[in-house]
Order: sequence, then structure tokens, then C-alpha cells
Amino acid sequence: MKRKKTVLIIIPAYNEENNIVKTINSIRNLEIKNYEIDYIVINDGSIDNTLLVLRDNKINHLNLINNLGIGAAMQTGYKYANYHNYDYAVQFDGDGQHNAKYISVLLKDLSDNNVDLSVGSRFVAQLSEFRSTKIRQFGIAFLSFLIKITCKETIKDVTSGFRMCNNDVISEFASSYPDDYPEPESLVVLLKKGYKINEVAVEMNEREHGVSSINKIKSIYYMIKVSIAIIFRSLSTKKGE
Amino acid sequence: MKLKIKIILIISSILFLLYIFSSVNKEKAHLKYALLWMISVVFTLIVALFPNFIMIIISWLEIETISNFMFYLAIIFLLIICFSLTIIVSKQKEQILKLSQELALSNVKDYRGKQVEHHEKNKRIIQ
Repeated sequence: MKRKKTVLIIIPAYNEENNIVKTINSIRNLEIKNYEIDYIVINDGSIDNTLLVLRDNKINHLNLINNLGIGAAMQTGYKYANYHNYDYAVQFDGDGQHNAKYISVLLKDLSDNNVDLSVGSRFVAQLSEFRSTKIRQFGIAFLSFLIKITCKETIKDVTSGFRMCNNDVISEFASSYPDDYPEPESLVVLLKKGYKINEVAVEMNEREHGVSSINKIKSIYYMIKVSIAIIFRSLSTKKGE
Repeated sequence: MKLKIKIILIISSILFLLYIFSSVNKEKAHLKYALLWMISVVFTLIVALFPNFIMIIISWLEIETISNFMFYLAIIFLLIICFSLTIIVSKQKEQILKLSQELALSNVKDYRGKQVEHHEKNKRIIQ
């Protein structure tokens, strides 16, 4: 009898005391035929009561005592997945933006289409009602264009954190994962090393986020830094597989 | 700007820039921290390549010579980079502090010699 394939849902969380229980409840009873689904929450040095909430609700978690940022926190999840030899790992936001019912869609894409990473995209089909603000959409389109000209691959939703990968990519990320802007940069890393990436249409929920002028300036600053990072990554001559 | 100094500036800037790129490439230097250096060197390169454009700024600032301006620029950049390093080091000190303390507290044994679990208590308590 073939053993069931294992899937790990990696949920990074920073100050999510209000959202984490809801998020876990949406995936706790997730069942996919022939697959064993586990999850792990990575507490990224939260300064609110996230850790207390995790412990009180007996939520499976790893506790980082320092806030290391999304890149390092996610990598911690990948190291965990690698150590326990999971066949697949899926990144899932702790704030409830991602929709659990699409996890099986990503899984199907990986197993059926022989790709290494599957990105849950808001821009492939008109599934998602919420596709972010116009400004953000323009930013994402620009980054997508940048990746297209540096890596010659068309991926529309390059900032989507909702993605699933196979065992090869898990060990790749466990050993090296970009720190600052992991979503677009990790795509460049994988593409440069010859991994296959595919996009599937998913729905995402709206995050309760106010848009202030401060965020606008930060967004421009972020855009410039990500763009430079993408260009650097794509020019990197470090020998890969 | 005299031709000799112009050539020296351009060549040394390009070499330094290549070295910075190579360090980032080999992951010896984090891109995030190398950015300030890159901006500084690129700025120097621009000044060396287009001194006439800089002359306008210099005369408006009432600085006497281009070389004075170059020194001024170099000092400003070094100060900014130095201070940003101070900020980075401060953050790292905080992280090392937390790691050391956590390690000590995690190894607490009760009087029977059993390992006792340590958990950081948060200030706010949820009811």
C-alpha cells in the first residue's frame, strides 16, 4: 500500500491574536483524499497575545523570540517541512486573506501538471472579487513585467503569498530563502534554477487595512527596493542546480 | 575638473561598484545594506562624469572648488552609512540579548533536576 503524501500548511503570524483562531479553524478540518494535511504556525516574535492564543487553543506552532520578518519566518516553516520530509508545503496567511478551499486546487496543479511551485493568483481569471487597489495592481503588474524580462516567464500575481511547492523546492527554500521581499524574489530564484512555476486562479479575501499617505510613500520605497532586488537576483551568477 | 582626477575617480568608482556587486552576488553583503554604498558610489560617478552640471549646484551653495564639494559629499555619505550601521548593530544587540536570555531561561531545571518549560508572559491578559 502506497503511503499517503503529506502536505504542510505553513502559517506565519505576527500580532494575529484576533485572527489566528479563525484562520486555524478554517484549515483544521481540511481533508483531501489520499493526502495527510498538517499545519504549523510560525509566531514571528509577536508582541501581542498571539503566543498565548496559540498555546491556549493548542495550536501547533513554532515560536521565534525575535521578529525576523516574513522571509525568515517563512523559511523557518520550510526548514520544519524539510526536516520532517513533507512532500508538499503551502504558504497560508495568518490574517485570513487566503481561502482554504483553494489549497486542494494548488495541490491538484502540482500533482497533475508536474510543476514545482504553484501560485494562487488573483489575476489569472476573474474569480477574485477582491483584487487590491488600483495602485497596488499597477505595482504588481510592473513587478510581473520585470520578472518577465529578466526570467522570460509570465507570472501575473507575483506578490501572492498563497503558493504551494513540492519537496525539491522545500529543500531549496530551507537552505536559502530571500529575506526582504520573498514573494517576487523567490520566484526569480526558482526560475533562475530551472524550476517550473505555474499559476492558478484563486479567491482571496479583503484584508482590513487602511490606506494612509504614509503607506503610499512606503509602497513606492518598497517598489524601488524590490525592483532592484529582482534585477540583482536575476543577474546572480551563483551556481545553482 | 582636471582630466587626471576625473579618470581616477571614474575608474575607482567603477571598480568599487563592481566589488560591491560581487559581494552582494556571493551573498557576502546583504543587498539591503549595500544599497546605501551603491547610491554613494553612483553619485560620485555622476559627479565625476558630469562636472559641469555639478558646478551649478556648487556655485549656488557657494562652495569654492569641486574637490571641496567631493570631500563634503564623501563625509556626508560616510556619516549616513556609519549611522545606519549603528542602528543595525543596535538591533542585533537586542536580538542577541533576547536569544541569550531565552537560552538561559529555557534550561531552567526544578530542584529534582527536571527541565521546566519556559514561556514568556505577555503583559496584557485576554479575558
